[in-house]
Amino acid sequence: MTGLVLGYQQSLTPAIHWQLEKGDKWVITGPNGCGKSLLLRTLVGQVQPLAGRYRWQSDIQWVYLAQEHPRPGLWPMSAGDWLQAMGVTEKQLELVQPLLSKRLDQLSGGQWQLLRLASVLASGADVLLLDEPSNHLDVRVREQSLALLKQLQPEQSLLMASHDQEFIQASGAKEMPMQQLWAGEVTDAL
Amino acid sequence: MLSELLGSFLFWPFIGGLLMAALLGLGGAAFFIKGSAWQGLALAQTAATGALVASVLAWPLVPTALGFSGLLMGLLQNKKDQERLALAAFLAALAMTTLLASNFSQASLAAARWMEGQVYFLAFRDIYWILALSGLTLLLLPWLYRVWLLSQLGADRGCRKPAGRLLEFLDLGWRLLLVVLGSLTLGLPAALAGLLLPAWTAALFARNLKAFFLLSLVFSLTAFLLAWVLALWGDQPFAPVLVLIALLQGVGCYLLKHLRVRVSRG
Repeated sequence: MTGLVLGYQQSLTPAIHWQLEKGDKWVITGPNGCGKSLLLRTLVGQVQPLAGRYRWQSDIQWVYLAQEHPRPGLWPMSAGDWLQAMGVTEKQLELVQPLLSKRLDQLSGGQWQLLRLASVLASGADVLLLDEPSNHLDVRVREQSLALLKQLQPEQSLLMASHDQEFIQASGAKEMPMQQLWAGEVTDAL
Repeated sequence: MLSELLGSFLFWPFIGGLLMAALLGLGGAAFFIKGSAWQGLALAQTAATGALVASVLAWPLVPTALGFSGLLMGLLQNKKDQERLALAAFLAALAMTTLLASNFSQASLAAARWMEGQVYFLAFRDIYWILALSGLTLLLLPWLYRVWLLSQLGADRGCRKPAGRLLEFLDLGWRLLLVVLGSLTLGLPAALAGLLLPAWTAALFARNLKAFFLLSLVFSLTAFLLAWVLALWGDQPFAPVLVLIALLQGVGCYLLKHLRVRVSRG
């Protein structure tokens, strides 16, 4: 990221200069509205930066878990279809095997979030961008999600927005307040 | 027997209508899964307006109808409030259609054709369009399915490459052609019923996405066959009969499903 300014119509952050290295695992923290989700959305191309630029290495494969994915009331799609769309094979995901034949509109909120998270974590991508992955997880599937997160490979990079301390610890990521990113202090730390 | 069937003046309209019903079932599922049923409604009505303009100005029918709907589809892309914009376009096109039909006799005749759906009088040039669209669909289906599947990811992104602009454009063009030809051959209300109702009914039962597309196609075909027989037998215009049959089929399936659920719970 070089001089990256985030915002919609008005700038929300000063220029950000930063580089995510292979195997880096960071959790961006900060109060609501400070631009954590906006940073992730900008990096995946869903929001245009107001200034500056960012660049992915051409051979890098990244995946992204958005903060919310509301389900239509009537959604004739199975969990197996979801994995196919995400480019993940069923063999990679033993944890969610019991869900595969179920329709997505028949899963509980927690099962839905677990499926989304599991399909991102099992993708084997080089970089994982996760926006509040513990949202909607109920007690039953929370432990499973934490176990998945612990299986991240050392060479995989992670950039996650989260307030959830258990998730932060499970991922083995270092915390980075958003304000530090603005100030460029993290660049020095790297 | 075969030569008798082939010699019947209803043979080609039947084949054309049947193919179009299958295509509408498939396309309706695509509109449903992409959450753009309103778009289909507006596109079909705008195509009718285009056809009436073509009849008044003696322009070629299908290209003009396609041009009008294509313009609207272009306008609807990348708009945040697509649903309300599509509804406004539908109302505007409806008003234009009524005004044209009231003021020009040629438009009045064309409007009657588009509203009633004179499938029994399909001309050979219409059948050619349908055959061409059917062939195109068979050819493009793997790519179209990829666009429909990946559209379900919403903001999430997985390992698969996004469909890309070219495939998105292909999907838009295919759906546009389907709506215009469907309205032209079966009539506006029947085409809309074919787009909306079988997919809605299929969504109640399908266990996965492929089954959903297949079921939608099957429900569309059964509605067409029943409407064909009943409209001929009762000497009624085809389109309204098809609409009612598709509705009854949907309501019947809904009730059946809820009855089954109650029985299994009981």
